[in-house]
Amino acid sequence: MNLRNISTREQILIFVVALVFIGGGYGLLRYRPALAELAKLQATNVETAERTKKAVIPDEPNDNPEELEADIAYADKTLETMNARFTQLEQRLAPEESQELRLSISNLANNVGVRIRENIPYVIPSAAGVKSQASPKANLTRRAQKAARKAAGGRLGGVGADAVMGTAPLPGELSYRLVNDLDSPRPFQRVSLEGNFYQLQRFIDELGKLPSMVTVTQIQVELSAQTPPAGYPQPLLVTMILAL
Amino acid sequence: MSLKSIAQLLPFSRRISSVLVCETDGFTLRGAIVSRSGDGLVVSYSSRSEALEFKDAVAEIVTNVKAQGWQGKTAILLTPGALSTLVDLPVAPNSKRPPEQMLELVRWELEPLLMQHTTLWSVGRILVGLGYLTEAQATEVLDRQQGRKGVEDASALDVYSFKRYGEMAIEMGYITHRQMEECLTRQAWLQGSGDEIACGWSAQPVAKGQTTDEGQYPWLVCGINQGMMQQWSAAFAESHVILQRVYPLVGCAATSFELSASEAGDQLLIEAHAGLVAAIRVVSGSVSAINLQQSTLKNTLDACLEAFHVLTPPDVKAIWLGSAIGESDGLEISLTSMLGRPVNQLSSISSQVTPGMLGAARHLLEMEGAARCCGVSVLGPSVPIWQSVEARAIAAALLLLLGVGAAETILQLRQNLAEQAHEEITAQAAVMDEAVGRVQVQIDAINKLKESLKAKNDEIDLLKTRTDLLAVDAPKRSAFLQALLIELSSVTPDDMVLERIEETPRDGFRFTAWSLSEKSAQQFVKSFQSAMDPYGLKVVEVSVGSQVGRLGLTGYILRLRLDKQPAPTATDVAVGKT
Repeated sequence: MNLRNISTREQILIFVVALVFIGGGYGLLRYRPALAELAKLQATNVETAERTKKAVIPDEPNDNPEELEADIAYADKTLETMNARFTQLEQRLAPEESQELRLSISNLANNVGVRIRENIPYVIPSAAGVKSQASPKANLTRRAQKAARKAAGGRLGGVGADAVMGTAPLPGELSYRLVNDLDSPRPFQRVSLEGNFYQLQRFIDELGKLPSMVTVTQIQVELSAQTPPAGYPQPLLVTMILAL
Repeated sequence: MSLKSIAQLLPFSRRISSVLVCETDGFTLRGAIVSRSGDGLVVSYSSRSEALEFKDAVAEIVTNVKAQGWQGKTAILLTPGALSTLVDLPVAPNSKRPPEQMLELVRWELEPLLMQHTTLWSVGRILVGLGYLTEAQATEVLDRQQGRKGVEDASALDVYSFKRYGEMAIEMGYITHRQMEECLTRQAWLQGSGDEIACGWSAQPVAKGQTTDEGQYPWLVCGINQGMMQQWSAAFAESHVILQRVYPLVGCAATSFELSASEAGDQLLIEAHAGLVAAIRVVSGSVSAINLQQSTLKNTLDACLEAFHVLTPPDVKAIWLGSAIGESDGLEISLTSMLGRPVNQLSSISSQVTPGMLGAARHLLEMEGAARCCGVSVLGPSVPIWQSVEARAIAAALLLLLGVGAAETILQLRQNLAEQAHEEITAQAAVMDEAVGRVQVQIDAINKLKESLKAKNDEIDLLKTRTDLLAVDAPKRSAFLQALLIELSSVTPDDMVLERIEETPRDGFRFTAWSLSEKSAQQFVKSFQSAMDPYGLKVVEVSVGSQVGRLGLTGYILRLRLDKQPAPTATDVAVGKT
């Protein structure tokens, strides 16, 4: 093939074909990928610039770290002190499974002359139980009540078979706090006794003098149906809920 | 290094360093390899052929020079079939027209001259040239053909109108049929066939003081029968050599460097060769006039003198003679003697080449003085370099490369700008992040300390609550209960009996009592209220009603409840203070 015989039209055609192939190949294989990479870089730049523009340096805290550390140290010291005091207070609480305190109460009753008619564990449901059941006793199934009694009995040292289920106390009440605010809820006893006003007064007074702390959280006093002999004080029937 | 020399390095620039220069006088073919050597020429190999068929002669010469070591591919030819002359064209030298237009202009001027020129190679002249006829015999045959003499014994019509020159010569017994065939074969290589002619041209600058017609400019033109040129080209092609150009037999010696000196003024070159004589006037390095004379082989001197007198002005400075090999000796002396002026022989670098061969080689190799010669390109008019396919291909490739390069440059530029911006933005972001991070670390440390402090305070509060429960609230409850019993025993009048004390989590203490009189009941309420004030309790829901007691006595039943007193308001406190 003689190149000299190629006409101008054929030369233009060859050039256009070469232009399409070379330009197309270059565009597809090199220019477009490079342009895409460039666009990606520019988008990253815009995003970074926008982020930098919108970024706000937060104000430096006004609190002095040294003061805070000093407060923490003071709190630690306070905690240590209070823990020591609380430990002392806890030592006045009778152990949960202790029968010794119950015996002391019986001795006290004998000493002051009141007759104990009944002394049984009294179960006060904790706040968790109240939360899950609006009316714990009414809404409990027999099986659930049995389980609750069993659980309460476990806490009260195996006397759960005769335990009495109490109503849930309101928040802020002393019994509520004795159940919910301590690490372990205090055991309760319902004590029914018979005696006159003076003996009752003395019994309550002597309760406060026991080595372990006993608190009367609820009391009910009523006249005994028995008429005393003349000159004798009216006998009373007293029912107390004691927190041991 | 000039632009021209750089261009010649390109593959399509057709740079030729050596060329096979062939010259024919119509009877023999002579060839020599002329090569460029610096600013001059050198003759390497030479050969000569007297073959009857020029095709064979070309093959013989090419074979010979290749056998001597030539490896080129290019050849040029000087032939008496080509004609060169000076014509005036309405084209300024510096305003070139398209090749087709120039070809038409030159052809219009050259066609009648070329037709007249080809009549030189008649059968009689060729036969004389070949030595088969003498001049006298040739004249006799012509006279007899034209009926001038020797026709008394025959009808004039028999010999005048119907007998050709060759037939007449054969009939007269001067030549044989074989010699006649040889003559016709020679003639075919000198006259060609067809009416098409190929042309070449070269502008000749107008010298100072030389006048021309308005709008007309001198052009040195050259022409040859197209068929004859193709015949020669095919002969060379069969020997694998490209016939590049065809030149006239006389006129090419004008490129000689002796005629290049512009300060030499008017110079005259007489070039005589094989029955053709050309007188060329060169003024300031350019051809200003040409006179071509045809002659027989025997009267070359007369033709030279005729050409000299037709052309030579009185103030010609130098007369040069260029002639064929072996024809110059006597001619130079004769011309000097006849003209009474010195006639200088053109210098020759080799005895194997004529000045015309060297001149044609000088023209092809584009050396100094090439403009004073004109040849016909076998391949057609040479196109400008920018119109050649090779140049256009390279230009297209460069254009594509330029486009790709421009795109790459733009990409690189944008990439650099983007990377530069990326570095700056990243640096700013890093500064900002570092500042935010530094403050955030402080905030985190403070928050951690605060959380720790809060946890400890919460623990303290919890512990305080528990401590208060065991140390304050529980003992306070016991103390209150004892105090309540004591207060009850003290404020209860003798005529009143406490029947029931009931404490419920929601209602607190409810009391039920029976008294003999309503007054005692009211007194109890008042006294009990006073006793409970220190404990922040208030007697509420007091009701007193008549009711029969245990012993059947009529009395009053009293019911009341202890409730917490509302906290004193600011107004109450203010009134109390007052």
